[in-house]
Amino acid sequence: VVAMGGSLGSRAEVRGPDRVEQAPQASVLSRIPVSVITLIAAVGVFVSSAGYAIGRAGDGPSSGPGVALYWLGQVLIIVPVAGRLLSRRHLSNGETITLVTVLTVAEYLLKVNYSPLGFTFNDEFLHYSGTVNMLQSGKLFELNYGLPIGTHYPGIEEVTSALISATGLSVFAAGLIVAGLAHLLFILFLYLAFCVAIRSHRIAGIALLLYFGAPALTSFNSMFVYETLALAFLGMCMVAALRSAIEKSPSDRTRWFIVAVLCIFATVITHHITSYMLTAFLILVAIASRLTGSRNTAARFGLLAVISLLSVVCWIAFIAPDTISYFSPTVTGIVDGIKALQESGSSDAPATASSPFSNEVLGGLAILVISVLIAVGCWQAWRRHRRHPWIIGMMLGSIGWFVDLGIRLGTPDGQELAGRAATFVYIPVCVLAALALTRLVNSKPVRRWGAAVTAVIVASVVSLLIDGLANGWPPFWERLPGPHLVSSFESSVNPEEIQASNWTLKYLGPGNRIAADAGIYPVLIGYGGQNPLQVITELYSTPSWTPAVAAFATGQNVEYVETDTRLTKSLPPAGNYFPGDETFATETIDPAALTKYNDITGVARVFDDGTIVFYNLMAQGYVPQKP
Amino acid sequence: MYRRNLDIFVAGGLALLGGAAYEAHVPGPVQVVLGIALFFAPGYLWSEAILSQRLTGVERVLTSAGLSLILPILGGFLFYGLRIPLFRSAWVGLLVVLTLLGVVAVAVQRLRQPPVDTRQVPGNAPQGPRSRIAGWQIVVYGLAAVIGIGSVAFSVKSADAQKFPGDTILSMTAQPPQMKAPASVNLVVPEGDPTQPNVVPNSNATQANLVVENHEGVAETYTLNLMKNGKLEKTWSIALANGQTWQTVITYTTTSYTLQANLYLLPNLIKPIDYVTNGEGNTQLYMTPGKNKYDRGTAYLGVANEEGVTKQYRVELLKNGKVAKTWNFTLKQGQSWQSTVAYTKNETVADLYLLPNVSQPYATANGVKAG
Repeated sequence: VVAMGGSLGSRAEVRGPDRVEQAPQASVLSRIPVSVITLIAAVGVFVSSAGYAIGRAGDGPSSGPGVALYWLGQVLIIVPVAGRLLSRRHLSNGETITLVTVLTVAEYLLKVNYSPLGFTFNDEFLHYSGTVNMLQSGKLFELNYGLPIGTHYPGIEEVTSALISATGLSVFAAGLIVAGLAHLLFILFLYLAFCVAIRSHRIAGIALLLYFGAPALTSFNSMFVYETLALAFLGMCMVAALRSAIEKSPSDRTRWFIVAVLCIFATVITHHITSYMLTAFLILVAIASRLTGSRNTAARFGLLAVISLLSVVCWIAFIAPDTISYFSPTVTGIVDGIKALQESGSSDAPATASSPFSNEVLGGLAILVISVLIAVGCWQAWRRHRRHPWIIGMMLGSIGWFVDLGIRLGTPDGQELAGRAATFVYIPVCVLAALALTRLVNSKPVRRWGAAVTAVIVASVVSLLIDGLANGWPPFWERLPGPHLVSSFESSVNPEEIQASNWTLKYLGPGNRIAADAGIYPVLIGYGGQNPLQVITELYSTPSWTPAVAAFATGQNVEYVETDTRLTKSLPPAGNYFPGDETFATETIDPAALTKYNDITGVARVFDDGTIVFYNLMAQGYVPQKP
Repeated sequence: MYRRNLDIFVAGGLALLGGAAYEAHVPGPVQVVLGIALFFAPGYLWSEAILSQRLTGVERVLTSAGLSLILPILGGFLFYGLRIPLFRSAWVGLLVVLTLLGVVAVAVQRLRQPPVDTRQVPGNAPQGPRSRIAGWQIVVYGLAAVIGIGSVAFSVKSADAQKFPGDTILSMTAQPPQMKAPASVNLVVPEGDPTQPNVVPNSNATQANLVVENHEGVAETYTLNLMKNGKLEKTWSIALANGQTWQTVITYTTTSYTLQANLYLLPNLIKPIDYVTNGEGNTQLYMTPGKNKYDRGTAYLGVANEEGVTKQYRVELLKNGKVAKTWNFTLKQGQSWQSTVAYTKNETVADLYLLPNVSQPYATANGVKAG
């Protein structure tokens, strides 16, 4: 039995688990060399990509063989890696790192292979636009129409601009490199942090495997978005902070401290939420260190927490005051939802698009399993590691899991918020779950069952990871790329939308206020450089041009209106036709609601491709004329 | 000594080559390779400078890569503070300067302290027999890499081959007098109020770009008809390969007449596949002389409102240039008005005014052809 091997940090104030932890039982998978597992994972990537190809050639996610191939590929990627990490056969630190890297790279390749010709994930368009603006204007805080708050957090645009400038690569290629590198760095730094803190690369590997159950990890956290980059800095800061606390030499401690401070600054410049979470993490470990009697560690983490807090406050005060108004609706929504939950037992949260029953069951089971593992992990942490500041800190942090559950069930947009928050909440959760898992399988009653228990554990962990994929992004209705779907994120980004958006930039110039459906909305921002509007459903809700609609257009300073005849033929699987609209569409749009713009004097029909039409409302005088 | 500092020379040299490649505009692949070296060199050197040589291989790679991402962010912020515009040359300059400073920092660092025995580095301590990767395993890893990269190539091909419904773009956009043909694409956001972008309104335009883009997936032949006040003004026959664009500049206004361009995909000349307008509505004025015994000497004078909204009209009937009769009326969208008038060829003319504009007729009919 091998465990607690591969200590990366020197023994100092941080006390590790006081007993050797044992990994789960051996299995057939444990005999497979890591190189062969890498090969199997690569085959898995190819098989899933073949599933994507079938989707593209046919009915997208409705293509049975395509979906089957996709999940077969995922099983080929996940099962061997999980089996090897969970087995008790010797696994060196290098092999563990290889397995974690293989899992991360394989999932990232699948993300790339989903849309290999250009960005299709909506948030990526926002940063595409930001990067192009920065390259062309030479300015740091250029207005980003799609993501005004992102204007004040230009980290990813800076890195991408530097890479493009040095290499001459396109924004897409450079974006993939930056996002992929940042994602891999985050995962590996997290692994190193776990190793330094727990001092067992085995448990660290298991914890990281469990972390792959976070719904946004393989999708949102590997996209070309500012959070992806900031997470790399968060992970690096965690390692640097821990090393600055445990290194023997004062000189080394200072050096790591400098790195931690650089990471804090980079995080603050790059992403708001991640910088807050980093501050919270530093405070948490400082408090836990104080509680466990590790004064020097508490002092180090406390000082870093103060630096982080001051950086965040100064950044908001002097650079990004909009951050407060940006988060106000979210915070208000959470508070109102919790209030409603307390008063009436119902959150009044709007209904969301329902997932398949199997996904719901998988999600429910995952919640149950993780909650039980957290409870067992907390018990273990208190019983056996109560003088270990990191583990006690993670124990305190795991309370976030239950807050996350509350947000998921009790607030508007709870599903999305909880999914995004899970990236941070899962960090303490997976540490405790790994401790619990290791302890459970080493308990006497369980050990009697040997390989059967290993199989059950591997199956359970794989189910958690599959749950993360099934209930993550893309959702089930666009699991595979395929034909166009109306107003449905990636599935709406087709050549037609790209051509129309390129046309707007070329012939209308940038920055026009355009009313458009949710499908073309992000493309207009990214490739069109336009300023498409949110909450404009009223322009599409009447069959005729009434004074009320005209007044609405005037009030919103609408310059162009986009219509798409496909909106009259099918419902949006995402639920809404228009950006910012919270009412779920139950019937298709009346064709007259779109064609009415043909009959308004002064409204020029400036673009027509047979499906998408743009109307110019400016000549009508409904909106202020441009200078 | 030389071997100990070889990494500094390599990193510094590659970075300088990367900077030179940018200046010399070397071919793409060379610039990509050298540019990547330039991008990561500062991170490696500063990781050496700050963390000395006390790291394991994995930690060195990770911290180097991490610092490579951090340094452009902090450097860019510094440039912003110094009011240095962050154009491409500035980014390349920043990376080169960071690299050179890194070379100096590492050199000073290494001069100040003796070489570190890497076996003493935490985490580098031997853990039993050193594992070596067998030859066959290298082959397996290589095969895995080939399959992984192959999956990307396969996906690119699959995505490229995906069938989408073809379409043809037809557009007619006002080209204000000061705005030349849109040859360049500029994403720079204008200074000032973002709600007031810098495009000139249609009403000031005297010309327009009429554009046809073929995205049908195959070569197509089109007929484009430009209608002025409902009458055929001009016809173009256009043959376009897939992805090809046809463009012309036409005289344009939004205030005195209607313009509509209808695009037909041959051989269908009955129903246009696309159409665009200048936004003016369409009011039809007609004066049709009677041709039968009972209506000879009269004409049917009519107005049909297709403006999309309710309009007020004035019709003046002129005999030999003098106003003989005037009608004022209001028509809703889709409504029409008609009257019978005494008619003499070449003497009777009807002028239609769109109220409140009575200075210039919107349309004129003389019984020979409709206005």
